[in-house]
Amino acid sequence: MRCIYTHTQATISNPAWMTTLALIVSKNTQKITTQQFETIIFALCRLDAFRVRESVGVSRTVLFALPGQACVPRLLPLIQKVFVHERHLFVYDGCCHSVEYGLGLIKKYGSSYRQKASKEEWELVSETPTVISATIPMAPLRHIRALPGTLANLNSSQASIVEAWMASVDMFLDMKSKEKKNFYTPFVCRAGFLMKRSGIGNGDGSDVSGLALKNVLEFISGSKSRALPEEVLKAAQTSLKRKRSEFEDAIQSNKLTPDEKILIEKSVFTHKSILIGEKTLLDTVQPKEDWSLKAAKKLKSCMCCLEPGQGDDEDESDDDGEGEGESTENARSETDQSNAGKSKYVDGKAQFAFDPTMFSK
Amino acid sequence: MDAATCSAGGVCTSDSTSFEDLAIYGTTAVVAMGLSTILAMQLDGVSRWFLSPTSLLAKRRREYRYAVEQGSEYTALMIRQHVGGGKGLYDPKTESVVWAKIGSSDTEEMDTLLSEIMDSKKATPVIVAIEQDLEDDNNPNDYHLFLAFPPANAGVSTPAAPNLYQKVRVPLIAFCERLAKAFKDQMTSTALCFVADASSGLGAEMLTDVVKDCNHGVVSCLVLRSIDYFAKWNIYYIV
Repeated sequence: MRCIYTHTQATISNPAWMTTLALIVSKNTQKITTQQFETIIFALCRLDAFRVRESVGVSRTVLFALPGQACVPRLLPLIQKVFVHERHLFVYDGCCHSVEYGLGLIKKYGSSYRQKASKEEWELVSETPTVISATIPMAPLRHIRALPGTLANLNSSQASIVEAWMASVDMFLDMKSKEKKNFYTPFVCRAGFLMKRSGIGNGDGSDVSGLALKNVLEFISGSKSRALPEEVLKAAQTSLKRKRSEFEDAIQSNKLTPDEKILIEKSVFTHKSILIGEKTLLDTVQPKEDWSLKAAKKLKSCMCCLEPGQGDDEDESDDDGEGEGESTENARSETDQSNAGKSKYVDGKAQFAFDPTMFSK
Repeated sequence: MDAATCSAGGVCTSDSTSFEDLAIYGTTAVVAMGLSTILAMQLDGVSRWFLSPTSLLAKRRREYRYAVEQGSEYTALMIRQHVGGGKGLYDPKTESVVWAKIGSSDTEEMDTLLSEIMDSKKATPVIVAIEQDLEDDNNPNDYHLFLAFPPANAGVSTPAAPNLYQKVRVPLIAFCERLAKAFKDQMTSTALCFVADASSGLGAEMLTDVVKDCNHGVVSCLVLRSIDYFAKWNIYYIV
């Protein structure tokens, strides 16, 4: 008797029907309700997953890649609502790197949507062209007064990628801010770790790409508690290495000038919650053996010294959902200033640090 | 004024451009300039000089929308071609007759189709398109779901190569409500993992490609002593 030990995950990349659905959600001329959209997306995702049931392998997972950053604002809230208990992964990169990669796609495929005339394989035919789903915003950003002025300084390709990227991150932040209501706790994956970049937000320069890859594969396959087979990790690392050099070439050949970077950062900076440069998004999973979906909170003081209701206040401030670390720090410093009058340290002279009545004589 | 030369026969010819000709040339030049201006205004580089930032953004967003819609339509056409037998066989003129049409009131037919879809021994249909059918006189505005069943001899998996699929058009909302209910009632051990992207596709493409490559790299054969022991790990057996 022989067996084939497969560690496969079926993958469905950029399905064209999802792009169509995102367009219908945008227009919605037929007044389809949100609940009906949720039903449609549930039924069709399950149908597509059922279609590939033969290749789900030992991890029994179907990996759906949403069609690019363009569709995220329209589809992610619906998908999160109906698949609240399934795994969600949000992979992001810095805006400038995203623009460089997007420009590489436009250079490679052209702006024409007719890029796949020669492909005759189902998996390729049924995909939305990446050059469209990655570089063109489908859901315009909510109104930001200064944004049109800053985007006008960029050329059309750069502006479209910046807007698509911002819309996607904006939706992520919006959903994170309502985390307690929508239970959105994705694996927030920073592409910089996988791309072996170093610097602020990407680690101290040591190579953590292998660990980051292991972490994300453990999440995708749902095998955090079980070690992934050595062969799987080796194959993944070889593949990552190959892809990394391919992607790095695409980025290098479309490097932005320092002036262009400044203009892009100005556009991004008009959004109050998205910070520029190499800052990390909220709850980015740090590459570790024992990784966590939630970033550990810094303790301001020990719990026994918290005044009544103070813990609740902290929870409420989480609801406001500052997008990134620095914003949270600012909010924290403001809170600290407002509480400056009330010291959280125990004053040994004024009162006991413990309840003396609790001690037996 | 024009200087005219008259021959002996009384035929006069103008030796310079007449007023009418000048008018024609002038009008042509003005039209050409106007067209050039309109065309130039379409260029983003030129628009940036003339339009206000708000108008420029509005213009760009219209262009984005057009590009996405065109891309989506083109992909749908490619899928139709694929399920219609590929480049060589597909004939767009037959589109209106090759689709079996099920209406909202055809509940029995919908249920039959549903039981066929849920049958795990049969190949599951592919999603071809979600579109309005403007040729439908009764409900031209309603959205329909276009499904195509792979040929029966192709096994359970979706064949990679183009083929002649069986095609059926169903009402989107009514059918999806039934389909959703059927899937909710069905127990499944398959988990879903959704990848959302904010990296111009770099991150999502990298992860999906790595996952695909892993799959090819880990197929190995083992000799088993006990089926029951390995059954809990969902190992596939070839006897």
